[in-house]
Amino acid sequence: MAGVLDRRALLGASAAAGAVLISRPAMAAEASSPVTVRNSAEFEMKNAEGYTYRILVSLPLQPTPPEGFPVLYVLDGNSVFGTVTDMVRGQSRFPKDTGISPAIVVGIGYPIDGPFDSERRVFDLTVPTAASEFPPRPDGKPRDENATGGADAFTRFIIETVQPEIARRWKVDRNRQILSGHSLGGLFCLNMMFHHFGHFRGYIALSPSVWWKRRYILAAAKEFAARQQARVWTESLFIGVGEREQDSSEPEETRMVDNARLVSDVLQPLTARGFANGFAIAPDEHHRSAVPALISRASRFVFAAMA
Amino acid sequence: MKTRFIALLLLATGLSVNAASRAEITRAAPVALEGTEERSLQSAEGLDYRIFISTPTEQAPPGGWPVVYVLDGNGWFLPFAQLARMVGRRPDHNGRLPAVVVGIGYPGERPFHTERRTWDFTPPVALREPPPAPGGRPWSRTGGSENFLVFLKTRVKPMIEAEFKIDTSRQALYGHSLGGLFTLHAAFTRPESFQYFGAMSPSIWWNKAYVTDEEKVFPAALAKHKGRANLFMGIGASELPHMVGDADAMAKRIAAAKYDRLDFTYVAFPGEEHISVATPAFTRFYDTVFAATDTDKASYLKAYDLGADAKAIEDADAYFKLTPERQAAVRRAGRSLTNAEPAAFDRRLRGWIAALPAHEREAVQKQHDRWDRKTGTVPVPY
Repeated sequence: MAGVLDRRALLGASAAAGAVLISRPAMAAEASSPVTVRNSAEFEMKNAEGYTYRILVSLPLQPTPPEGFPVLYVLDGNSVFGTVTDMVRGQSRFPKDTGISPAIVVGIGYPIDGPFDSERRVFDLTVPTAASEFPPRPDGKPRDENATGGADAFTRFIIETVQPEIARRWKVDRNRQILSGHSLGGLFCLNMMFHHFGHFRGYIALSPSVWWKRRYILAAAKEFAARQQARVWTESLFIGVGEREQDSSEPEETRMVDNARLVSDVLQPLTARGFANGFAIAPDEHHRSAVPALISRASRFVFAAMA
Repeated sequence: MKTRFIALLLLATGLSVNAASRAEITRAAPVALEGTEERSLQSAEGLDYRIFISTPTEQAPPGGWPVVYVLDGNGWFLPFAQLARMVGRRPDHNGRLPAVVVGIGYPGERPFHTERRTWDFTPPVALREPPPAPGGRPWSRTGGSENFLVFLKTRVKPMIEAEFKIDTSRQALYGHSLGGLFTLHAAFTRPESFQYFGAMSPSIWWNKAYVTDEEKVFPAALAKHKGRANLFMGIGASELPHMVGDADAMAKRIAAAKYDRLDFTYVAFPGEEHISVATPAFTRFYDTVFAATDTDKASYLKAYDLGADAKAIEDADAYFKLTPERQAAVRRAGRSLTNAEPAAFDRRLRGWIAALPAHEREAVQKQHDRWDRKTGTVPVPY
């Protein structure tokens, strides 16, 4: 326990001072050690129900600005934390060109090997969904409705537990926090924006599963836009999708590209009062490659909107 | 202890937190990328390199794993290894093969080691212009590319091939910027050195576009080379105009030449600049060169035969009596995607290993890891 405390203190202090923490042990030809992310921290947190999450954090290599660092939260943290960290670090070396300032990247993941925990993510990222509300599965089997419905609890975990913990450990600009997710994670981002607005300044929803629950999120987008008639905006949303994610023979309900665009279109009137509404289709990209293909552009968009 | 820790935490911050949202920290360490490791290696000239290796997340196809050697490993290994580990999953379904990713880097923590990379990535030719000195500093010395190619061939590849079951007909070299220039140099002058070349945002401008002279020997080098070559070139469409112009022009020339034994792909990534283009480009390159063939896909769906000797194994002792190679073959069968009977065997095996005393378990783990890689099986921690 003492070791854990020491390391926490060290990390917190070095970030605040802008120092660079080199986490890798000295090179040794015979022994092999895993490759670690420079200036990073990994720890576990439990939610109110006792489920464990793996939190992956990378800190900028630059000194802390007086207002603190922006924070980019990444859902399914196990899968792309390293990729997103590198994207932010690479581009924030030239903030004048890219608009991306040095930022803390926080991956919210699971204590697993491998990129995805398919059971837990489906629960965490979805609202309660009845079996009848799913599109038919190719194999005709029914879906398990008990496997869904954790989105509200996961939202609480993020805004009541994770965000405060990050802000406690490091100097965070609370006014510049971004939530990003892919697939069901993209859907969750939209859900966070439409139903729990106010905890993030920017939202990045890549290949969002708009088809989920008879496109409930499209209806939520319409209600949200209607509710927010008078608001003046400083927030942003970027929706991105790969061109090859949709097959023209599909029913409307499951079309990834068309549905993503529908959500974006619903929000377009809000741009008159400052809302930054980004949308992109990545040519020739598929569901899985949409993240590497679009994350840079998406980040530039939401960072520019926070400038 | 845990309770006291949380109490301390609250005192220190003065936060009032209700019970439901209490943060319980159970572990803190730097983020380590799963399935990766680092080695050190020295060139014949005594230069030290850091070599970063990522183990694939799926079993190798029958010929072994494809491999991609990534230049500027300090800067690019982590993001690329993570992408490869993600996109190479379930090749039967997603259509892309798992691959070993090897980053070639330099001592120290700088993502891009200017002096070392400038030496390694540039050919030994007379400089055509006194290079401009950015910020008054002289440019790094140039001309080490031939030594670096030899180092890749005689030190890096043999190390990887000794350890992993590598498909030597599916080896890729990938470089960005000055590393892209080196990749073009290797492709134009030694098309036999790798099967796939990924040249991203190449510094064609270097030494008054010297690489365009090398481009002229490409037809002869290709003619001499017995196999096919595959060149992927990419650029961010929002990079500096001269970078885009140089890449466009070279791509047009190569495409127009219609080389018999060359597969050529050129992509200008819309909206991306010099750094941001890296992740989309790497993924597209990976998709392009490591696509699973129908034979590959079928191999993943094949139910591996456990073998009569393994079927007869009732307990741990019987398993450990098999040769290490035979044990590895059995494990590979047990971890095939579709086979219920070997999967059940694999579960039993895990139970036997879990029951070993800690020091023996460690030794078994080491031996298994070594043989799994040699036989194209994903090592699994017990």
